[in-house]
Amino acid sequence: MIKQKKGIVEVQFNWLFILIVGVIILLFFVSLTQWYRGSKEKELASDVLYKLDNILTGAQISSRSASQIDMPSIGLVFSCDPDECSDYGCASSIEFEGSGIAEDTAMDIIFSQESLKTELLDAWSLDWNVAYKVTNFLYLSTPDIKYYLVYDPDDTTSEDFAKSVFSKIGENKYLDVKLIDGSEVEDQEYNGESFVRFVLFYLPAATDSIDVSQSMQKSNKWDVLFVDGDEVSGHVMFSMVSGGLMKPDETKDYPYLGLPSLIGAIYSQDFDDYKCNMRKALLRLRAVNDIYLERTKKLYDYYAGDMQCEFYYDTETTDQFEAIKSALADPGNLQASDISSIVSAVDNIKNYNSQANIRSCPRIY
Amino acid sequence: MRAQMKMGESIMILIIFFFLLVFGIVFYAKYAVISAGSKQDENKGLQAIQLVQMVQSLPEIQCSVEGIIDYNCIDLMKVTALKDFTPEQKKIYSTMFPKTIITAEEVYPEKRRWQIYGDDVSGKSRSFFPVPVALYNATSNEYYFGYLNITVVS
Repeated sequence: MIKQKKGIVEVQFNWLFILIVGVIILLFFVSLTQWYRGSKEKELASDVLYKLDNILTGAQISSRSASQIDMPSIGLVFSCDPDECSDYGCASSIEFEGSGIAEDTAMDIIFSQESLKTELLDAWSLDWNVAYKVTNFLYLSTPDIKYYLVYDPDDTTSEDFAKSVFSKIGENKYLDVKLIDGSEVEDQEYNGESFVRFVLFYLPAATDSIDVSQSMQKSNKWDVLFVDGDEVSGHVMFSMVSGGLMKPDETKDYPYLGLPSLIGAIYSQDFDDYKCNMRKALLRLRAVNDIYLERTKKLYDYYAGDMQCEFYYDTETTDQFEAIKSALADPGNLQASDISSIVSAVDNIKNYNSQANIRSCPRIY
Repeated sequence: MRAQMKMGESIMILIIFFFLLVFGIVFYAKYAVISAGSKQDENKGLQAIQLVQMVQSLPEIQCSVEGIIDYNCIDLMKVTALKDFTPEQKKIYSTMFPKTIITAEEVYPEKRRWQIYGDDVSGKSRSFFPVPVALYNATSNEYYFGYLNITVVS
């Protein structure tokens, strides 16, 4: 009887032992897997970071290059705060979703949607010239984002402008972009895109609504960007929903200068994203403008008394660079009038530059 | 007594099993740390090269004709303009080129040197990248031979 009881205890103890040891082994392997997974994710994020760094550098070095880059399917989150800008750049970064790894982009000008999750990243860069070269803009997108450039069929200026932007943006062969007239907007069906943007090259009347197809309406993955201006300058307005209608939001209005910056607005997620990247661009413009201002002063000092060349570097010219500088004094609050002064000063600089060249004097830029 | 011996045997097997496992993991972790370190060094080197390329392509120093860039050419007049920037004006470059010293050096026909940016950088190790460039003198419309020297401090 005692022997039998002892046997039962022994069997029960064996099972208890197996259970405890089993749990320990299981826990050990689970934590090992977790650690390994975490480290592999970090390694992957670091690889993507390196790839992205290459893209950023490449964009800063050479422009006009469009490429499609294979990426591991890791989400990229772009953030840029226009209210957190200083003379050093803006509070801006690219974060790898969920990894905690981020790349600081305080001075990198990147126009894109806020979040990109893709295995193919479309990268394109353009140089931003304001007479002289200022910097390169990098545009990032994915194959499942669609852009419609919409013109007013009754307005040839709107049509020509939209066609000109279409021709420029079409240089990026990987971008899904279509040129349509205003009456065709409601015919465009939603085909599973991650985002659809309609870019209107006219401002609709206050009572007009932007009618889109039912499938587009249902998807809730679309918005409208309103453009008012020409190829040289103008302003863009991001949209808001008011009374069930998509309308221009006058509080989300910011100027553009040249086609590359307008294309930047088209690629941008929203007003803040566009404004923030433009603030970085304007910081660069201020620095490059200062260089040309100082250079022109030095040329004036060198040619002082030289009747042939002195004129092209005197205060008439330096005042133009000063005008650009003062227009950029408050980039956070850039107005259409500031852009007009820049455009006018740039025209004058171009004129003095070609005159200096004709008279065999060193170019201003 | 037999059961106790059996139990002791099982525990010993488990201890040896865990010992081998931990040994393997430590060995793998050490290997991973070493390979990550060498990858980090490689990335640092590549980052330094990227920085050099970025400096070379700065519109603030590049030669240009009506906005068209002339690669591997440095405009001496722009260099002297940038050199004379106030610390306030140079702030922007501290974000773009942290811990970097940039100088331009003429080696022919004369020997001259211009400190463009970053004169008070301190750090442990320095990587020096001399890039051969043409130095353009706008007033005489002449090109000289020289180097754009970039020192990256890490």
